Amino acid sequence: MASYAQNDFEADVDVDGAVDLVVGALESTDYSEDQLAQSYYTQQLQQQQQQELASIAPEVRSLIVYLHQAILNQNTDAIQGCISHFYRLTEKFQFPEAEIVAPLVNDDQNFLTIYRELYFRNIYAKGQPTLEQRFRSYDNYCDLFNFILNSDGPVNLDLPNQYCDSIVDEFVWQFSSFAQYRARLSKKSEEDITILRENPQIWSCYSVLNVLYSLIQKSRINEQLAAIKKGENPNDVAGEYGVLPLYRQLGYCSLIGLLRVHTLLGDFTLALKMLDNVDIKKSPFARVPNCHFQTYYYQGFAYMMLHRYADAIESFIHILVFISRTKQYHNRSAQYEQVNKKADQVHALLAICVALCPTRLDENTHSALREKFGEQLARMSRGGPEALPIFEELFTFAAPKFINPVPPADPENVAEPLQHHQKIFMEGVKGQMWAATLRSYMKLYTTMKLEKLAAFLEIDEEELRSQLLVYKQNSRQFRRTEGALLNGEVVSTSELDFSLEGDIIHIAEAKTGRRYGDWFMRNATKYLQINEGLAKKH
Amino acid sequence: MPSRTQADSIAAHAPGLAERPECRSDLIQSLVDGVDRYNPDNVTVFEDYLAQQCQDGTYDCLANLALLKLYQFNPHLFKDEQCTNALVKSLAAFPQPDFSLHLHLLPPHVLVFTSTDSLSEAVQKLQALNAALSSASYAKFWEIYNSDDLYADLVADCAGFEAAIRRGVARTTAQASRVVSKSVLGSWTNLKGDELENWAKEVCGWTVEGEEVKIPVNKDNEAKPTVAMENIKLEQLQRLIRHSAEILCHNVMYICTRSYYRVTIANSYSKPKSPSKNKKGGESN
Repeated sequence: MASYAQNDFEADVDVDGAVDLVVGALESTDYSEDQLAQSYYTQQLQQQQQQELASIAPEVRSLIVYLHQAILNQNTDAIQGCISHFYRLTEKFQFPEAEIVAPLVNDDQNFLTIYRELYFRNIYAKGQPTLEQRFRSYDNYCDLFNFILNSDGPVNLDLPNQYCDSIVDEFVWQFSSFAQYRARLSKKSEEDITILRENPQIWSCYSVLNVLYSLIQKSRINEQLAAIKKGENPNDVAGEYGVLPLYRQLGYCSLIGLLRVHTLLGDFTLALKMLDNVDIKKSPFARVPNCHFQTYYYQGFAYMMLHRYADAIESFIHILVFISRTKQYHNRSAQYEQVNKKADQVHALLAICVALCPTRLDENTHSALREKFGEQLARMSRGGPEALPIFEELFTFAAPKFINPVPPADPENVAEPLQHHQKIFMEGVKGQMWAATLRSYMKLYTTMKLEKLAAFLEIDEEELRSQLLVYKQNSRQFRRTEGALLNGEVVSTSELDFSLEGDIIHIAEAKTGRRYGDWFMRNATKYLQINEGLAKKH
Repeated sequence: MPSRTQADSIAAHAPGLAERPECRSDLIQSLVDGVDRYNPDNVTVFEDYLAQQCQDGTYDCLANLALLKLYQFNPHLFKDEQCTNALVKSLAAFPQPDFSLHLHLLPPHVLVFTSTDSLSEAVQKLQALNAALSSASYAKFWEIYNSDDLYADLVADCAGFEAAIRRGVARTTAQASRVVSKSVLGSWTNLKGDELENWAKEVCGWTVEGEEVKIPVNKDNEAKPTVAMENIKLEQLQRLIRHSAEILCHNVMYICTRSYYRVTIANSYSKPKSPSKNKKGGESN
């Protein structure tokens, strides 16, 4: 290729004259040769680019141009349409690099940054990105967030809510993917290991947190949410950035992003603290289904790790009901599968929590749970040492992919964060193994001698006393009633209560009276409707 | 003199994580709430606060977790002693899961592999203590605690550790029992004879009668069968009432207009034939 170019060049230009001119103008011959070589190189590159531009599929080309126009016109619906179309096209076509596409969009660098984000999303989705691609994606995110946060004043960009959410979502996801990639050092080449070690700031915890916190601070999302809670107008406290929908949505998604990052790093209390001002049931920003789902999943999981099973169950049920109600809108295959898989994970976590803190569930959730994890739930509820592997299995299936904030100290012996967290969780579970059996015996009596129950359970009295204390502890949990997520009051979560008097156990059951209110109202309204129907007919 | 409120306070549940402990200064509160908690320069602030907690016998879970998080992000700042002190402090918070929350922030190799260095060994030994506490096997706790000199080293910095554990035992016992025998209580608190009696009376506010220790009634240790009746609020019936009120009004209007017509029609005839005066509904047109 080089020799051919050389011949071409020499044939076109009057070499002697040109070289003399150049040499005369410059100080050293080396420089002039380099300059010549460079202009050659650019010519070659231009030719190559033109060829590649021509080879882009027409659908891809028109999509890129259309997207560019939509962004310039701030037409959020069109943008969202383009993004969905983008996902469909990526299954068929390879999207070109940003540099090749530049001429199509008049070298609009800001658009190219946005485009590049999509391009890297595609690469991550297709398979294992290389180290270089990961680094470039990180640089692109830096450019993108720099543009959004550090330009003079707010940028003139309006992106649809779902797209904003997907940007932050993908950012956090690529971070966690990188952390896992970095942990598997033993299979890497020396070169890669050196590059990683020399660039600790790329995809580092601090830089990711910096981005998320900056988005939150710039958009003053916490102040806005606090204002909404008090019934005031959020625009009063939003500042010049926060009033724009782009910043507001990015700010909100960053809160959820932080909830996610902290959970992945094992800091469950801080994760819940992020949602201090968020009223998820009423939040106007939570219309993006994915965002909504993430919020409840991570919130429920954090509660579970804090042993607040009642709160966890409430979170999981809420999101399961939401998914079942919106199932009809997820009829496109890829999304449907993803939603289903996530719903399965939530069901698994719900099974764990219900086994540890038996609660009455509503019909639909209970039947769905029985269908998916009925057998596991039965075995976990029975308790005893055979139940432990099931807890482990479901935990591994449903837990988020925990990461380490820093590269592993010893590349040979890498401890998996998942194992670490699972071990701690299982320690907590082990203490509660007798609860179910205790409950089944205690239901049958109102008073019972300690030694009798011990004989039934085939354990000694000392251990039974301990188990009774544990049972009592487990039936008293913190439960949130209002306010920040870490708040709570201690409530009783078990129907069966007892009191130890020396060697005698006094047992009491809390029964709920027949609930007829709901049934009554439902049937009354139905009757009314029938009545109206009849009246209309005559 | 054993006092009622003392017994209640012993039996009370530990405050939740959202409550600000009295020992927490405004500076620490601002760090815990804000972004400066990530600044590695603040590590000494948290470390000093932890040292103070060890000296005073006070305890601040969220601040200690923030310290461990700084260690997590900056392993070069990690100090074994601070870490084990934080863990020891969190042990006495049982049955709240504070200890496991601290564990979650430690580097994974500490728990996953069998201990090869002093940190892992210390953490795993403390975990054994925690397992005994969370399964309420208090006699076993004291057995393990007294069996190894390492424990004495680990808790050396934390003043009042044993007293805090005993308070925790008192708490869980008071929540579950009305009467407990002296021998059982003794094994649970590692106290005997006069020491045990004094502790039960002075610290817990309980009464000792012969071989039994009586615990006053509190909201957790009385087992009373209850029946929770459904409480139907007016708001729930609102829609129903409104609907029925609409229908009632509609019907009344109907009846009034019908009867009005009936009366006018009746009056327009000179000879009232049959007094069709059924003013109630059920008329068909």
